[in-house]
Amino acid sequence: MEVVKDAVGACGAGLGIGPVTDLVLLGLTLGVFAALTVLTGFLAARGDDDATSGGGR
Amino acid sequence: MSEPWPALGQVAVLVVVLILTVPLLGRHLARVYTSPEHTRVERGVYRVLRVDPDADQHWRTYAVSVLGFSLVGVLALYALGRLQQHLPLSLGNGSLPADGAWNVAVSFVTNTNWQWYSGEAALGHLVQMTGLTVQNFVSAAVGMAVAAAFARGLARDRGRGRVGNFWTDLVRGVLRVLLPLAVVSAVLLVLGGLVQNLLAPRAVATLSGGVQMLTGGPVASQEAIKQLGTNGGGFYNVNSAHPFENPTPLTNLLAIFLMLLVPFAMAWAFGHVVGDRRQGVAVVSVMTLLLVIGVGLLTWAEMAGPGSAPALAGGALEGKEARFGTAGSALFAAVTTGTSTGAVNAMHDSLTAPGGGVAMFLMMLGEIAPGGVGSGLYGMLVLAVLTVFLSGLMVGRTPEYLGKKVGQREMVLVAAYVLATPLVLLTGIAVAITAPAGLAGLQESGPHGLSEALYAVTSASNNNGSGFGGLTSGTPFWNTLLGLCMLLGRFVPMVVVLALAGRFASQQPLPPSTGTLTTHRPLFVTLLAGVAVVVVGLTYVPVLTLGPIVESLS
Repeated sequence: MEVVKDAVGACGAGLGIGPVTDLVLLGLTLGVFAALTVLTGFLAARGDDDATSGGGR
Repeated sequence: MSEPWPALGQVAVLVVVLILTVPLLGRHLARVYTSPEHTRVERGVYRVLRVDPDADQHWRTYAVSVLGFSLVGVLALYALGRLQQHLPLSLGNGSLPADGAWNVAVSFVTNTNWQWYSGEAALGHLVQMTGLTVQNFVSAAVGMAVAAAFARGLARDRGRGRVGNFWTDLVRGVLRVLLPLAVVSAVLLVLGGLVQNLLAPRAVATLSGGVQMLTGGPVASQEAIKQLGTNGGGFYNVNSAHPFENPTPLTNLLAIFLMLLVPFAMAWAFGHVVGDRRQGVAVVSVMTLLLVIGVGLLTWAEMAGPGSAPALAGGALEGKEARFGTAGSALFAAVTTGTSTGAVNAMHDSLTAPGGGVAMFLMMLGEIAPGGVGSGLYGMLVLAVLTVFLSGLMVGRTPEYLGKKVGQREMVLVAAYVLATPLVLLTGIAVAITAPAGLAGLQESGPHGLSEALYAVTSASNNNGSGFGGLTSGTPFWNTLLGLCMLLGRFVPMVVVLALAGRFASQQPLPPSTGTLTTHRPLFVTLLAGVAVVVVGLTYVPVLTLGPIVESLS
């Protein structure tokens, strides 16, 4: 608990933005990686469609 | 002009050593990424990770494994930075601020190693060793793994989109390549005078009667993988300009050699993996050609470039360490920006305007001269695919590379790869120079101020990590902006490359015909180098014109 308090306190004191900063950055990280995973799925789906239809080569 | 013989002499030594070692390591790398055998230690690691090392992954699974592994790395490193004050061996350093910890985490996981902080004053030994050094190994191994997957995709016959096993590639890259090389290199660096200890900072009395704090640490071991893995993050704030991190011209040359070794060897290994060594030689030749041009221009700019002060002093000496000289600094600057390493042994802000422009241009090429470990190879291979396509358009030949047909879908992926980094970079610099928080970080105004911001965004987007200097980047704005550039600049191209690998792996190779463009001859080498410069590099001419080019002419 002490560790969490310190982490939150350091965040607020250091940046003057408040303890939400950790959550925002965590969300940003997860958002970017989620978007990359979606991109992967999108490209794979296009590739699979192409392979099924026999097009593209 | 300064005496040219030291410049030529160190290049000659470097060339000889590389000629002797690159083919040896290249053959070893090819065996590492194609052998079906696992060592006992590797099997133990796979059991701990609970993965099947013999599973041949579809490119999508491979890409998701890369992303998942990297996400865990970011979160773990972020936690280490935020909780540092509660951890042992922190040397009294407090926890990093949230945006700073995030920037460090992203920076080291993406193999960028951009450092907004002063290493010796902000991080303790535990974070340096278990966080940064570990990521120095695994982030490099991730790049090598993706390059190996791409090479397999080109080599396979109807592989149904399967490109190998990420976990096998990752573990082998660390255990069979980077770790042994790093141990040998670290011993050589210690012999060369680098520091290696776990001591707390020591106060010493200076000759003028003051007190100076000297920080030791596991410097040599971090320095070895920093250069080998084209990471670049220094133990000390001034990186390879610090006498504990790079004490002599000999260690300077060794550092340059280590930066170049694996990227060139990966290209050499490519020829073995696809069963035609000439293809590897061709890729090595293009990388060498671009690097030689870069080294030549940058060395000229620093030794005989414009400016009355450099002319009077016999070279541009500002911001350079006297023990390396102008030539040693210019060679280091060209190699560190050509390889995506980002280590620095001189203040890049003090490079002459054309010298700074060359350093930026080498990064803007997409880090292919010879680029990062792995990323240099797959970047160059994507450009090779683009070159055969453009050549096919010009002479009416069917575009194919190593027997794999380059169709519409393949070209969409190539275009996505070529456009991804410029999109990130140019968007990033636009945001940086329009936001008040971005402008607040600049030390200079005018063209040089633009160069400071442009260099930082270029370095982050191309996962180089070197800093120009002059920019106060340790602010929430710059930490977040550069972190985003690093993430997108690393992983969007990687996903696209793996998708392309999957498409090539699914194809049956076409036999060579009279319409096939040979891709190992000097003509193709020249074409590929030209495509790299014209298609990729010239994207940035407008912004370079406003920065280093205007400054050169003023």
